[in-house]
Amino acid sequence: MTPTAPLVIRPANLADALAQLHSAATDSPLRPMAGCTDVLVDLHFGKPAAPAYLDLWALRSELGGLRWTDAGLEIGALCTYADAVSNPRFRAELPMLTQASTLVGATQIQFRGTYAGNIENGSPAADAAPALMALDARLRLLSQSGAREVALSDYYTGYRQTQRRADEIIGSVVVPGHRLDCQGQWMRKVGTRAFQAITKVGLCGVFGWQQGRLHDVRVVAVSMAAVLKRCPAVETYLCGKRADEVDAAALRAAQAVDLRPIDDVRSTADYRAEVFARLVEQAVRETAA
Amino acid sequence: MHPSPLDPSPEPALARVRLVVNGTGHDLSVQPMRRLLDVLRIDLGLTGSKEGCGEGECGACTVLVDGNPVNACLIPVVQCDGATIVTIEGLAEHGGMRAIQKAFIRCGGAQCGICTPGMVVTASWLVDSHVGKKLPEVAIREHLAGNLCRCTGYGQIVDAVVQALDEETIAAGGAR
Repeated sequence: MTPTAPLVIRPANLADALAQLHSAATDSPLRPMAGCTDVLVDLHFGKPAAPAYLDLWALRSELGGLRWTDAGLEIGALCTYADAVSNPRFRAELPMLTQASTLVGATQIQFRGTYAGNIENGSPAADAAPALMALDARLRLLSQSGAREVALSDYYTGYRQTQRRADEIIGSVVVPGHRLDCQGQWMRKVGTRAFQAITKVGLCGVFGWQQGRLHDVRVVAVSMAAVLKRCPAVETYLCGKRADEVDAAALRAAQAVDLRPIDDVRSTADYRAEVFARLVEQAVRETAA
Repeated sequence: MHPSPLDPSPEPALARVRLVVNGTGHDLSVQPMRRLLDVLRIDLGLTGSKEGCGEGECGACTVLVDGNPVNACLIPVVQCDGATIVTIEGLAEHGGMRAIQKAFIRCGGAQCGICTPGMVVTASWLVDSHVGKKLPEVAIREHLAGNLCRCTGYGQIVDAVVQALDEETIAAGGAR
């Protein structure tokens, strides 16, 4: 059966977009759309369309680009992966996010996919979002009543559920200044092949060392739970350790506090738990060297 | 090609969209969420762009939108309003094949042909954006990772890109 064609609202500018969201918020919220690399896959394979979409793609001049400010790097919501990785300063200061931005999909996807879209899509197997989470990124959410900031690590409230209100859009993603060019940025994505794969198990993290001991640790688990997840118990366990003090059993015990891996079509819980622990061990080994 | 549930719909909520495709302007009144691929193939009769997977993995539908290679199966046509689009049909210039097209033939870069239109479009962008620059084989393979070919094993396709880039670089007055 052919579904009803959804309505698409094309705002003239950002102010118009926020006004449209505001007036629709209570009775029939609009679904914002950007590069559509997820939206169209869902529709094509039969997921029901939203009653109405708000097309933001034409607002790239207002909502795109990279801006280095006193607070850090502000990545416009509609900045594409190709926009970002074509910038030499971005590549130099954010090697993990650069890697994530090229692993997210092939060249064609990199020209369309946006950082805000990747975050808002809410997949626990996302690529750019966990790298941003490991870098302490914050989201600037815009609405007619103003802007508010939320830490990306607090943004997800459940499977594909976020803190975004129906009258808000993500305006930008801010990577704080202390994470630009920071040492020990490390990620690995385990999938079925090197390119064009969806993550079975992944880790994005920061592993900062001082005098031979880990002192600045962020560990984000990918495709391990219903949401992308920081791992505070693993971070606390690793902090202050030398590489040779990381104990396999103790690490796995800490990990079990943070994560109860999912069993799904892509992998089993046991496989995920063991591979994730080994990714932590690999990250420690490689960043210590 | 499997039918898209988006195409066609009985309830038109039409949008006016202007496209320039292979140099020709089209003013269309279309359902905004229809895929660019369907508009090209069904409305404009440009069936060179193929549908393989319908989810942005295989690249058989690759076209250039404002100069960049993108998957036509993942773009709602409304987002192309005002855009300049080049499909495989529009790649040849002045009726003659471009260096990349000749190199595909010479190197045996096509077998069954399903991936070929998208592959050649991506390869043409790769060559054009690297004239006079170094492009190692690993980078060629990475840039072509979104165009899947089940026949050639990719070796001949990579050869074609290397040869076409050399030719275009020499033609532009640069050294190999």
